[in-house]
Amino acid sequence: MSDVPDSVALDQFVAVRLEETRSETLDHIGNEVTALFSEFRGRILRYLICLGLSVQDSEEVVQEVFLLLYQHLRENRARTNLRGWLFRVAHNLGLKKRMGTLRTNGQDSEYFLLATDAAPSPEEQVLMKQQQKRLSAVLGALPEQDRSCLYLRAEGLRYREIAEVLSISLGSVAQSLARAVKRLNHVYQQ
Amino acid sequence: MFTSSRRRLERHNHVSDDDVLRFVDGELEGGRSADIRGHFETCWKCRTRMLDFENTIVHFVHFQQKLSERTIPPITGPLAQLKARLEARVQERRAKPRGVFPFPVLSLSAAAVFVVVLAVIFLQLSNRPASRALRSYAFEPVPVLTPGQAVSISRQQVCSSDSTTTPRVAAPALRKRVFEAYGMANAPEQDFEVDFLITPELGGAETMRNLWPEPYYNTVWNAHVKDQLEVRLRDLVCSGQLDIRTAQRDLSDGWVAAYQRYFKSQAPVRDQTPVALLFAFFKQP
Repeated sequence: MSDVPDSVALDQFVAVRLEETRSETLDHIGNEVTALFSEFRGRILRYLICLGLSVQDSEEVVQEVFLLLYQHLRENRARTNLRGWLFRVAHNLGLKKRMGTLRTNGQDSEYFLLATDAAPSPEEQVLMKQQQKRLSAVLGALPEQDRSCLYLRAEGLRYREIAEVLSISLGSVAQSLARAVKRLNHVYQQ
Repeated sequence: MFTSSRRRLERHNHVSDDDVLRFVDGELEGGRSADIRGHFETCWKCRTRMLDFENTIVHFVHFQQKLSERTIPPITGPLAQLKARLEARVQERRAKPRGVFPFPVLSLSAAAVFVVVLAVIFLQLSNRPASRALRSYAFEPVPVLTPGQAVSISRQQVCSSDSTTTPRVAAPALRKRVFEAYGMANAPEQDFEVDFLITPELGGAETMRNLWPEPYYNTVWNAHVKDQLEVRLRDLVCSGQLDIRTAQRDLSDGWVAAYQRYFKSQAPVRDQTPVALLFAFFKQP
């Protein structure tokens, strides 16, 4: 496990990103938030899409998450484990958004990502579609908690961070991940 | 020298799936990790299972990366959008007065006199009529447009939710549509909160049917007053004195009447301390 505290690790890449994204019209915290956005937007967006949101809805949620982060930092609230904070807020907002979409459209948009991808070459397309189909079936059959653990781990979160995001115990994270990986393993074994 | 757990591993065979994955992910403590590594050296079955898990992870990550390369739009547009929204907030903050007292040093007695004078001014101003610009807009939700809409939510969810994780701001596109629906496309947006009729903390949905432009200032029953009611209702729900559906219905049937009922007051209850009055004065536009 990494011995580097999250806050230190964050400060390091924020410093790098700050040089790329700095804007004179923003205050210090605004610049910090845009630097964090550059670092995390892709990962959070991918997680939200995997949660079942459309790309557009996911983009809106990500914007909200970082506006809340600005508010959070402006109010001098805790800076420990901001990565976990970002995913936790995104997870909660994403679930609410998905609940709203379900009520409005009356259908679950889950696995949107897997259903809408188009591979460039015919061979790749066939292969991807076969794999998509099998993966979709396996992922769809996973309990929501197992699926969330899998996607969060794939985005680089440690077990304790996943436990915080989903408000579950460390042991539950390990069990969920083991179940999910084992089932995926069956797909790749076939 | 084998530890007891390692001897146990060797004797009874095989590491659990949880521990195999914890080992792969570097989530085991040093001693346990060393025991399992030792076991893998002797047990082909467990080593194969570990490699299977690792291969599965590699495949899954590659697959996700390929998908996201084709699905996730470039960052340029969203980054520019976020910067614009943050800039608006920064300007908003800079436009506000920074401190309560405009003078660096005031004696205690002078400060007290200052507070009393401003409190009197505030009380007079609080009774002034709404400005002409804002008076032309609807201050109450129109039932046809905003009847209120809620999603299913449990008491536990209501009471465990952190206010910072609740979406208080409707999406920009949705806000725009709400202004248009109320015929207020050209209204000064900064003077209104596109508010949830049923608050999200109590299960209010982020839809057109649950949103309306509520003015911050110049009316007695403004967004800040409604916030008081929302906090009161949530407290009552969490203390078991009110069920969620009743709280939702109270908000959607007419939040002003609900406020008057729950606060037992025909007018908004104000914090009448001098500091609060002074602060409120500076918040006037």
